[in-house]
Amino acid sequence: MKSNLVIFIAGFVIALAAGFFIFHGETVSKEEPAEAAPKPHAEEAAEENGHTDENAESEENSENVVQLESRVLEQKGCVACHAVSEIGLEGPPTGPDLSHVYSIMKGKHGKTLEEFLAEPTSAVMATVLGENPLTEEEIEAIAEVLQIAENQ
Amino acid sequence: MKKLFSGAGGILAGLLVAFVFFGSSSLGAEEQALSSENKSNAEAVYVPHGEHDEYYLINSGGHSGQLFVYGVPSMRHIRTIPVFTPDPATGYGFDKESKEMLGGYTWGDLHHPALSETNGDYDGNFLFATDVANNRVAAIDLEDFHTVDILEVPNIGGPHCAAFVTENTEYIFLPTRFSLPFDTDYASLDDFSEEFRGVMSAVTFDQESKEFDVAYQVALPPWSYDKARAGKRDSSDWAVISTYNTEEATTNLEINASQADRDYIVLFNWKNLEERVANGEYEEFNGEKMIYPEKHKGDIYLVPVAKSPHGIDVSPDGKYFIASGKLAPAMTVFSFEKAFEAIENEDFSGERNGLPVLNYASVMEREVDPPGALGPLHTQFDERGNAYTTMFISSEVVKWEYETGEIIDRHDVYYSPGHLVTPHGDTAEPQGKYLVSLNKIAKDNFLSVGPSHPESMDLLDISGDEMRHLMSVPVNPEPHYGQMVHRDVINPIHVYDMDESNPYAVYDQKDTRIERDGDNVTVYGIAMRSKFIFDAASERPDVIEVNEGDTVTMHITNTDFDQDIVHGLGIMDYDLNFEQMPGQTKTLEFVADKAGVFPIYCTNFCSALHQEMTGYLMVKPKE
Repeated sequence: MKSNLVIFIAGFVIALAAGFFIFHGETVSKEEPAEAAPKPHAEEAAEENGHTDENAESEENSENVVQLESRVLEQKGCVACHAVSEIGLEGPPTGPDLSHVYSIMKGKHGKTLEEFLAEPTSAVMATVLGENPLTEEEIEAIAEVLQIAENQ
Repeated sequence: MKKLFSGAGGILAGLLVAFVFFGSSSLGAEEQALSSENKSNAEAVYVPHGEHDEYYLINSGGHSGQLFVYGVPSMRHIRTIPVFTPDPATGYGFDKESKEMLGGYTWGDLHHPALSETNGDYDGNFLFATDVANNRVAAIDLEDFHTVDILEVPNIGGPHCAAFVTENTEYIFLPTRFSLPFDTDYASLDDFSEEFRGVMSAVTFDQESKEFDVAYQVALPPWSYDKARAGKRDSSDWAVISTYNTEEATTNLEINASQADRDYIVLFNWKNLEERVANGEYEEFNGEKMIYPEKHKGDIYLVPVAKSPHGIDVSPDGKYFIASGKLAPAMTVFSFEKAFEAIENEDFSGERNGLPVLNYASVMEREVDPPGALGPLHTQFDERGNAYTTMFISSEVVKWEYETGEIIDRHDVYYSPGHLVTPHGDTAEPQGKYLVSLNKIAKDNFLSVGPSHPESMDLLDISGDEMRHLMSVPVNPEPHYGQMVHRDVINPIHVYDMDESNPYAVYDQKDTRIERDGDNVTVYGIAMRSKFIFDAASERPDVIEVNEGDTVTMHITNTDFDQDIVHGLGIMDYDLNFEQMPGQTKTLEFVADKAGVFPIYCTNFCSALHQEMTGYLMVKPKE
């Protein structure tokens, strides 16, 4: 009796599995082309990276200098909202790109960058810095890197 | 034996359960094919976040007077560009410059957009469009997708035909749909054939100064000039115009303009006409240089074509011009080379209204009559020698080879197509990837919105031998025509440059000021996130105080030189609103004829504290 039951169950499972592949086999094979499509994009991206590596070599020296100064922007979280594209810092467009702001701060906001960072005139920046004000050294460091960016 | 039965029973039971659970989701073969076809069509139009569409599709907005910009293949509506009519959302027609450009018109019929060309292909500089309703032509700068010049063209009755450009945008031609009395403002319709004329205008556009000018006009016979195209390559000095109502009927045109078996195509050499005008061969008419073909003979010829033709299109190699029958069910392919030969040999079959008529048989290359296809209207091309023609009545697109006349493929469209457009389809370098059919009737394609339905566009994949329908898309009436151009050709700016020479611009807070001169008040202000600064030195920098009856001029500069940070300025209860794009200075002029306190607020979402970007216009009542 037991062996008959085992054979029954075995037959059942095999037939169930076979049925699954029979009915779903076509859809499984059709999904493959969709997965293949994204690959060309990855290849393209890899190609682009290859090209930029060549340019990067010549700028390596100046970039090493900037990398040191720009660390303050990463450490203080500025890049969470700001890009500084002229020195290669990517960032979201939440706040303006800081590449060319240093010299226009006085005209636009009525304060120099250093004064602004000590006491911002915009509500958003006042909120951001209010909880965690910047030290004098940090303000100096930020001023330095933004001047470098503007002179690129 | 029992083991065999157990095994067989198990297998049967397993198959039964498998069928019940897995089989129910497996449809019949046909349905499965359909659902996988839907999947691959969906993939063909899906553009994931982070990627862009491949092509711009810029559609005419018909009686809205606007242009609609779509992306292909996703068919997403990206932007509406105001051209001939005011747009309160952006303040187009409200700020001083655009208000002057619009000249008080609030209606426009934007018909056939045409992209500027260099060497016979789109160069991405400008887009031109005509207003059939009020006889205007506009230029849109594709650097910032804004209208830069509008010209009212004199002496004309409805430039439906236009706009079409010559190979290097030397001219934009504007032939007319309606004929008007010529020597007098008013004449009886009984004297239509003698007193009325159609007019073709040769308009130039200076791409540096961004200004139109009318170079010369031609007083054509009083017929309706329907569609037109410039030649290409070897035929680039020539252009062709299709006509109807050569019967010169003045009423009930549906019947009376469809009487004659043949109408005409006007074939003219614009290069020679340009030279002759330079040599003084014209008459002054109402301030314009007018050519009268019956007096200034030559360079304009007539080619007979089957009854009431509609579209006329030139093959990419410039060898043929193809007329679509509309009422006659065929497309007629004419050869430019044969036409030039006929002109050389003076192979004329007669004359009409002073214009020589070329012998039909000498110019006609072939007639193409796909079985069952009715109402051919317009033709576009791919780069593989194929022509695609819409059939209004049989609601389809027919693909055929224009060198042989062989019909390759047909596909239904939904429903009743007018124009169609392929990428770079009216240039010498078409890209046969997609086809958009611009249909007139949507029937039940989309969710019902009452008795008036939107128009409908169909996107087809034409990259293979057979056309493949991808998607139906609703569109505001009426995209008569569109231009499809590859994204690499268009290079818009994101931010306007600082302009130190602009006397109205202020970029520094301390330069903001309010000046009074009698009862004229001028504000030199800044819009930045998130405040207005009209006078930085004042106690309330975002408040303007004037007296009732003052003329107020506001020059506002957006000093946020950042992509997509646009500000707007709206004045409550004064019905005034206008936007300033990043780096841009705009002017608003009005009379403060209502006394009271009027809130001002930013009308284009600009920043986290956009809501707080407000001010006041205080208008002190007269004593």
